[in-house]
Amino acid sequence: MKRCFFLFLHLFLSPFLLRAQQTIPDSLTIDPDELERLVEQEINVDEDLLPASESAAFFVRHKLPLNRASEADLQALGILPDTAIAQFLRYRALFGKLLSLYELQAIPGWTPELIRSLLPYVKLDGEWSFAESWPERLQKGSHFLLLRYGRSLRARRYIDTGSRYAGNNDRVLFRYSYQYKNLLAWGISGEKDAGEAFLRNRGKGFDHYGFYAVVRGMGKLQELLLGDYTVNLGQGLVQWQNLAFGKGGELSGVKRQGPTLKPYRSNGEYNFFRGAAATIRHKRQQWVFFASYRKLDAVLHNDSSGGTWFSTIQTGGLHRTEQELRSRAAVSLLSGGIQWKYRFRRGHIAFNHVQYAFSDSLKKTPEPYNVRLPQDRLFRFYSIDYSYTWRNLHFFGEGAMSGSGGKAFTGGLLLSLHKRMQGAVLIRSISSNYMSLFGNAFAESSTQSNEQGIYSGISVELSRKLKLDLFTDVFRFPWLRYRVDIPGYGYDYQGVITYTPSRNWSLALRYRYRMKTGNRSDTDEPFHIPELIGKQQFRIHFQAQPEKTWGVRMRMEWVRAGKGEEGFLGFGDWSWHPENSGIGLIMRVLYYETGGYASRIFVYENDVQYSFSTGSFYGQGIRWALNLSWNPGEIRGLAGKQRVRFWLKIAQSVEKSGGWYGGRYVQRNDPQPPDAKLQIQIEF
Amino acid sequence: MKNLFFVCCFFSSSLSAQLLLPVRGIVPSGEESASKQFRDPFAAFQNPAALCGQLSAIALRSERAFLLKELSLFQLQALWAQEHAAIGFQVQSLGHRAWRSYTAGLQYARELGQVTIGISVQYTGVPAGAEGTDGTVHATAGILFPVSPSLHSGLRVSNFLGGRMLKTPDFRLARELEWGWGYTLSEALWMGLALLKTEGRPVRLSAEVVYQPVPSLLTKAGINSQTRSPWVGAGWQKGKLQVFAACVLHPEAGLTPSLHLICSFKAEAE
Repeated sequence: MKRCFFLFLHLFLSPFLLRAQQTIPDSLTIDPDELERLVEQEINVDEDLLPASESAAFFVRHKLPLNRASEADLQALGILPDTAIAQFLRYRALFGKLLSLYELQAIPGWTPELIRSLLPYVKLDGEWSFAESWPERLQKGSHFLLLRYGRSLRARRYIDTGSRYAGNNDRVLFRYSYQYKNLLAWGISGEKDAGEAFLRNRGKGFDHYGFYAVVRGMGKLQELLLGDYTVNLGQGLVQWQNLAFGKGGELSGVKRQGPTLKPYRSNGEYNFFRGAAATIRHKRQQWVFFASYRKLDAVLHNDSSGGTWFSTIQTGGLHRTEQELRSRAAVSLLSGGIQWKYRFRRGHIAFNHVQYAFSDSLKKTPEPYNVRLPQDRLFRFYSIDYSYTWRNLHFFGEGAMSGSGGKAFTGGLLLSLHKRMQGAVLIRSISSNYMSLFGNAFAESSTQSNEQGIYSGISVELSRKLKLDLFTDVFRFPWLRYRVDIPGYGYDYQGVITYTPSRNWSLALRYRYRMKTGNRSDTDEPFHIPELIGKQQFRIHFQAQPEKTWGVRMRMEWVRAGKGEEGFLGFGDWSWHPENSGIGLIMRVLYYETGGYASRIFVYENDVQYSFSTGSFYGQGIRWALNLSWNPGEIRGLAGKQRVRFWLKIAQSVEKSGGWYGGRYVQRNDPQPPDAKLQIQIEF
Repeated sequence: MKNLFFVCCFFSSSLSAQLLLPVRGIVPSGEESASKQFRDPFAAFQNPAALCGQLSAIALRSERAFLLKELSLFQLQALWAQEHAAIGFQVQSLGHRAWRSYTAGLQYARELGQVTIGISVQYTGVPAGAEGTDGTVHATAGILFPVSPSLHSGLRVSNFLGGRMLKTPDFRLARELEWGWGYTLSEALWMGLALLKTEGRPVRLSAEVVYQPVPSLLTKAGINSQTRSPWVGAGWQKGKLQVFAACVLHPEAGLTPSLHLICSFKAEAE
C-alpha cells in the first residue's frame, strides 16, 4: 500500500523527468567542475575522455534493464555511487521489481539529479543477455573510426636557441574500435602531438600507438584483457589509474569506485599497463590477475659505480626536442599483481598485492624532502580494502603497506542523514616513507605520501529550489614537501549555494578558502621562509536553457591569493542546436585579468567530442572559442549504412606573451595564434 | 584651479583606459529594455542588443560631471525599430575645448527567437598631443535573453575587437565585460543589477530601481559600488515625449546632473 502511494505521488510529481528521458545525453558524463578541480590540484588527467564517453554511448544504445541488473552491471554504468546501488538493491529486494521508472524517486537517497542523469541509460525490463555465440559477437557489433586533426593556424615566432622540434605543429589522432555490447571490444589508436615527427618517425608513423582487446562473459572467466588496460584497486592508495575525483564535487566522489580492470581506450601515454589481465569469479569470490611490461620516459643518470638511475618518470608523453627524444622509453617497467575479493550481502573485503620492477633504480634527488622516500628498483605493495553498508551508513576504506615499510590508511563514511541531507567523512594517514607509483587516493596533494587529514562534507536540500553544499578539509604534512621547508599544515573550506527555481535555469554561488604552508617566493633571503599562504575564491555561475534549441552559461570568478594578489575571470557561453538540423554550435567569450600566477583561475572549455580542455588563466587577455558539430544522420557508403559526425573547433587566446614554451623561446609580444581542431567519427 | 585639479584626477583615474570616461550610473545597463514596461533608448549605449524592444526614437542626453564644464558630456542616440530588428546611430562628445573625445557608432540588433543579439561598431577619436588627434575603431557585442517571463539577463563585451589607437598602437581602449539581470516585479516596478569588469579596474556592482507610479511619471534610483555613488532621477512622459532629469552624488567629487530628452516616433500605449 505504501508502495502504491509512492507510485501515485511520484506519477504526479514527475513531469520534470520526461524532459530528461527524451534528451540524448552529451558524450561528456563528467562534471566540468570536477575536471577543473583535478587540473587545479595538478592531477594528471588524460585529455581524452573516450573511456567515459564510449561507456555512455554503449548504454544509450543498449539500455540496462533495472529489474534484471546486477550490482556489477550498475557499477559498470559509472554514474551511480555505491550507496545508491546498495539502496537500489535493498529496495528491489524488499518491494520486488519496479513497476515504473518513476518509482526510482521512492528509493531512499536517490535525488532527482541522480535519476535524471541515469534515465538515458536505463529501462525497466527487457533483454540483457550474456550468452551470445562467438559468430554473433564477431559479426553484429559496431565499428567506430575516429580521425582528429588539429594545428595552430599560424606558426609562432621563435628565437633560435638551438632547440628544434622533430616534426611540424600538426596534431593527429586516429582510432579504430569494434564493440559488441559489453561482451567483446577491441581497438587500436595512433597519436602524434604538435612538434613530434610523423611518418619520418624512424618508420614508425605515429609517435604513440595503443591497442586493447577485451572479452567478457565466458563463464567463470568473467573478463580477459589484452593490450592496454588500467587497474584500480581499493581506495587508490596502491593503484588507481582511472579518473577519480576528490573534494568539492559530489559527496560520493570521496569514495573510489569502479571496476578493477578497464580497457585503456584513451590516447594518454602514461597512466596504463600493457600486457594481460583477467577476472575470475566464482560465487562470492573474485580473483583478478594482471601482468604488464612497458617502457616509460625518464632522464637517465650514471652513478659512480657505473649503474644508471632516474629520479622522475616523465608523464607528458611529448617527444619533440632532442632532450625529450633522448628520454623516450629509457626505462622499462615490469608490473604484476593480484586481487582477491569476497563479496557479501552488504559489502566486500579484498586483499591486493602489486609489484613493480624497474630496469634502473628510482632515486629521488638528494633534497631534504626526499630523504624518507624509498629508492630502489623493486617496489612492493600490499593492501586490504573493505566496504560495508549498514542502514543508511556506508563504510569504506583501505589500509596499505609498502615493501619499504611505509604505511597508509584511508577510511570513510557516507551517510544518508535524511532524504534531503547527505554527509561524508573521510580520514587519511599516509606516512612520509610511503610512496605509491600509480596511486590516486583522496588526498590534498597529488602524490600519495606524507599526509594526514580529515575531510567532512554535507549536502542539504534546503527546499526544492535551494541546495547547500559545504565541506571542510583539515590536513597536515608530517615531513617537508617540494618547496615547503618545514612540516606544514593547511585547511580548505568551501560552501556552494545552488538556486534552481525551475528546470530551465540555475544560479550557483561558491566561496572557497584555502590555506596551506608554503615557501615565500618574494624574498631574496638565501634560505626560504615558509609561511601560511591563502587563496580565496568567489564564483557566480549561471546557466539556463530557456528553450530546447539554445542555452547560456555565464560565470564570474574572483580570486585573492597570497598577500593581496587578485584575479578576475568572466565568460559567457552560448549554445545553439536548431531542431532537426543535426547542427550544434557553442560560442565562448572569456576575459581574464590576474595579478600573477598565484591568482590563476581554472576553467573548463568545451572541445570536440571525446576530448576536453581545461586551461589555467593568468596575466591579462581574452579568449574566444567556436565549437561546431554536425550530425547528418545515417548515410549510405561503401560499408553500408554509416553514421557520420563532424566536429570543428577554433579558439584563440588574444594575448601577447613571450618566454619558454615547450622547450623553445617565443619572441616577446608574439600574439598566440588561433588553434583549429577537426574531428570525424564514422560508425558502421 | 579647482576645476583643473578635478580634471587631473579624472584623467588619472582613467589611465588604464587611456581615455576620459563618462560617469557611470545613470545610463541603464541594458537589461531594462528587455522589460516591456520600462524602455530607455540609452540602454543601447551600453548593450546594443537593447535596441530591440524599443520604439523608434531620437534621444539626447547631457551631463556635466561634478558640475565642471570641462567634463561635459553630450550623447545622441537615434534608433529605428522594426518588429524583430533595429538599427541605431550614436554620437557622443566628452570634454571641452581643451580636451575633447568623441565617439560615433552604428548599432544593429536582432531577435533570434527569444534571444536578442546586438553589435555596435564605433569610432572614437581623442586628442593626442603632438600627433594632433588619434582614433580607433572598436566593437561592442551584446546578448539579452529571458530567464523567465519576468527575469531577463544580458551579457556585453566591449573592445574585445579593435580598440587599439591608430597612431599610438601601444594604447588601446579598456576591454569591458558586463553581466546584468533585470527583474520586472510589477507593471510599475523594475529592478536591475549589473556586474561590470573594466580592464585594470576592480569589478563594479551597480543596482537600479525603476518605479512608475502613474504612466506619466517615471522615477529611477541606483547606486554604483566603486565610488559608492547613489543617483536619483525623475521624468515626465506624455505621448511621444519624455523628459528625465537625474543626479549622481560622488562622495568626494560632488554632484553630476544629467538631463535626458527622448522623442519617440510612436506613442507608448497607455
